[in-house]
Amino acid sequence: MHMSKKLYVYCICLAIIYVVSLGHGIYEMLDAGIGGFKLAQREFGDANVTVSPYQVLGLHLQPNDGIATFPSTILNEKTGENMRLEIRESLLFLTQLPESIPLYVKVLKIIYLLLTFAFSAIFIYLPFIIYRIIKSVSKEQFYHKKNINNLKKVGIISLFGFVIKVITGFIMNMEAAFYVQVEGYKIAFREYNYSFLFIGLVILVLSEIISYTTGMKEEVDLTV
Amino acid sequence: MSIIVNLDVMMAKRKISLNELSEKVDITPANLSILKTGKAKAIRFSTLEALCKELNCQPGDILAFEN
Repeated sequence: MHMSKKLYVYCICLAIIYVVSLGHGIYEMLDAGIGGFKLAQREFGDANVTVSPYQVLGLHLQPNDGIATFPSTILNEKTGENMRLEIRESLLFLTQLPESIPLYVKVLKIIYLLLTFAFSAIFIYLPFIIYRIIKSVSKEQFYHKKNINNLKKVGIISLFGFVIKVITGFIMNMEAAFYVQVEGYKIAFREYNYSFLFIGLVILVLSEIISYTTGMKEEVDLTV
Repeated sequence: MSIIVNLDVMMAKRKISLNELSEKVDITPANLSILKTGKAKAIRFSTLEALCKELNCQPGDILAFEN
């Protein structure tokens, strides 16, 4: 059986989105690596300098006086004006670290790393499940229990991805609260990535509907 | 399922084979086999009528309820 035209188009779109998002992730990692290398060369180029330990924190900041109060400034090189600025998403590079780091911060760091690995593993595993579903559907096996289970897996994985993102956000904030207190800002928790939650729930609802229709189809098939 | 299909008993009583009955009631042997083996989830009135007519029996002779 030939794959339907619509399904073929959707598959190609999915593949493109996956490759683009993967490519973007790799590009960001490479860029960060090159940037870090340049920074190290600039700051610690002299071989005799002992490189001190550092910490990078990715934070959501919120002005103490409320959103849209613009507590910072930045230079506009075109006009020379000092423009008012509000930082929301920031990446902080700390070199002055406390001498002793409490155990809870170290534990949080380990949990953060493990969860980040889990999140990466999800993104490697997810396309395999989707591939299995598409392969099965392309053979016109729409109402197979395997398909429903795979669809449920995709939904649960998406929800799991959301939970991981929320937990890692909390951990990062707790860790950051130990290291920094930014002038004019407070560390805020804002989890914008609700798409995982939304998609996960939609897929679970769809899988339940398909499960119901599969039962109906089975009943019709076994009506003599 | 507590509804028992006694089609095999009636067929044995009437000494009729599955293929022969399927031809006479115009049902595929596969579907009749589903009914005979108790895998069927439902039966149409038209099928029941055709079976009763062919086997010369009542619906109660083919279907039974067991608690």
